[in-house]
Amino acid sequence: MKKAIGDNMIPPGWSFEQGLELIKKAGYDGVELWLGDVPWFQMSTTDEQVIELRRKVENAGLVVSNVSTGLHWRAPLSARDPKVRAQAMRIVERQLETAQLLKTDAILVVAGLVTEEVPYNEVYTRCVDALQQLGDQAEKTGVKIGCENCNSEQRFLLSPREFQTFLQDVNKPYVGLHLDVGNIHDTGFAEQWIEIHGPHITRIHLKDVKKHRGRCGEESVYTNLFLGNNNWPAIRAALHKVGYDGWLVAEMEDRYRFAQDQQFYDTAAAIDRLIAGRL
Amino acid sequence: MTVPRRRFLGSIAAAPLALGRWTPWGSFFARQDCTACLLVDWGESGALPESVAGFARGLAACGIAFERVGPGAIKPARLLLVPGGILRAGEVAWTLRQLCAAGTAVVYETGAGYAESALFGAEQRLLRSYFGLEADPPVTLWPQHAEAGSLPYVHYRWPLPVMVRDFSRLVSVRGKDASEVARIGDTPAACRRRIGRGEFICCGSPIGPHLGAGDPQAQAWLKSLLLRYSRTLAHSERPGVTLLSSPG
Repeated sequence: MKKAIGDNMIPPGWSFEQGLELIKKAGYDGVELWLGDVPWFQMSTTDEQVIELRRKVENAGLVVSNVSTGLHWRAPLSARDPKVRAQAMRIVERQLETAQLLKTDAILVVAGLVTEEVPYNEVYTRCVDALQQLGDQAEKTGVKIGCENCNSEQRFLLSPREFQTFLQDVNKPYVGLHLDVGNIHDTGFAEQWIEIHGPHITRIHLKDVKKHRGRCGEESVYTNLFLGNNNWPAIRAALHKVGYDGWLVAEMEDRYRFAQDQQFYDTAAAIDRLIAGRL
Repeated sequence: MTVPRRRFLGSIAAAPLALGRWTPWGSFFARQDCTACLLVDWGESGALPESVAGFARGLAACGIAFERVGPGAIKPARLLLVPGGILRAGEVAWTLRQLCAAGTAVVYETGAGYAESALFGAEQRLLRSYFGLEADPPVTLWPQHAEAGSLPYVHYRWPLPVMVRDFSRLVSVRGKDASEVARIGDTPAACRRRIGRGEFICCGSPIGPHLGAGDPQAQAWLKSLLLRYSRTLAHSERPGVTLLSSPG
């Protein structure tokens, strides 16, 4: 397995080049690029500028692991407004285009967002429709769409079987699961998601989660690897069982307050131990 | 409950006898070309294409055969479904009005809440002048609904009392000679008005997307509507069709 970390982790005020140097120095093989979340990679970034980003990544001795985005939280594929949905489709299309330019074969999509206003059945139907269209485009580009499980935040596709049914309804070979092992919280166990989805996993986000925290035990909070409640030996065993040999991408939502570069080293070391089974 | 398709289609066969005298579509009826159920697909000019797809799914789920036509190809029908559109010019409004007068039941669902706001003025004028209905500018229901603890439901009272979720934006519609079909809280959300031998049902809160999402109550509402027109229109062949001329 190879390890990567997102460019959205690069400390504020650092340039892209400085960030890449840090990522390489910390021992990662690749970098996940976040469309719309960092100043150097926006929807307005031209093809030439994207190719320039790739050159910088290669010059640093890295490769691009995948293209992610947080833009779908504001413009979801499940929006009621057709104009917002069109915008969401365009974001995915741009991800596919830039993934090709960056010579990677996977993107991350937050597929739908259930809210008080937009109920589950609507979100489900719209996401299936959208991903059927996008799945065809993905196949043409040779880039896989990984729908991320954002169980708690999306309030959508909460169990692995539910997610499996969803992917079966979409029924496109280039649409799979971008599994975040930290996002499952109290709705299940990451290792079971891995077992059920096996070959349909496009990429894996790594982070840990502390369950039942807060004064009343009402909150789950994200944390660094090995600090939370994820059963890492079981996760590793499940990855071995299904033969996953792809990217492990660190997504540390809880950032170091000081010495932010240290988090890159600590996380890389933790991933190394996970891969090696020294747990 | 399923719509008895044979009875629905059978009702259509009786229509030409009564409507054949009327022009310009009299010849259609005389040749028994009257289509049972037409679904208007606005295509690029539609405000809410999802609603058209939703009605198509809803009709298919009822086992009703229907024809999909563009706004420029509207023709006589027993039931004419016009979802997710916005009336921009008099031609379509005039056609709908003429069809109503001749006995068609027109279900018009405005997509104004999702169209450019500048377009609403024209729709408002056309609904008033052709159908005698008053429409308020679209209002956004959320997040006020959540803040006020309001119920996010449209309460339909006709043709079947059901609750269907709102669709975030509402165009309140009402008319002096119109009966209320639905409301959200205290606000009228849909109404219907007899026009000639037909009826004009105007929905200010889109229901098509809920049909598309498989909402059982939305589906029951559509079935009830189909059932109603399969019955009542079969017996509505009375003489005295009022012909209308275009208001310009």
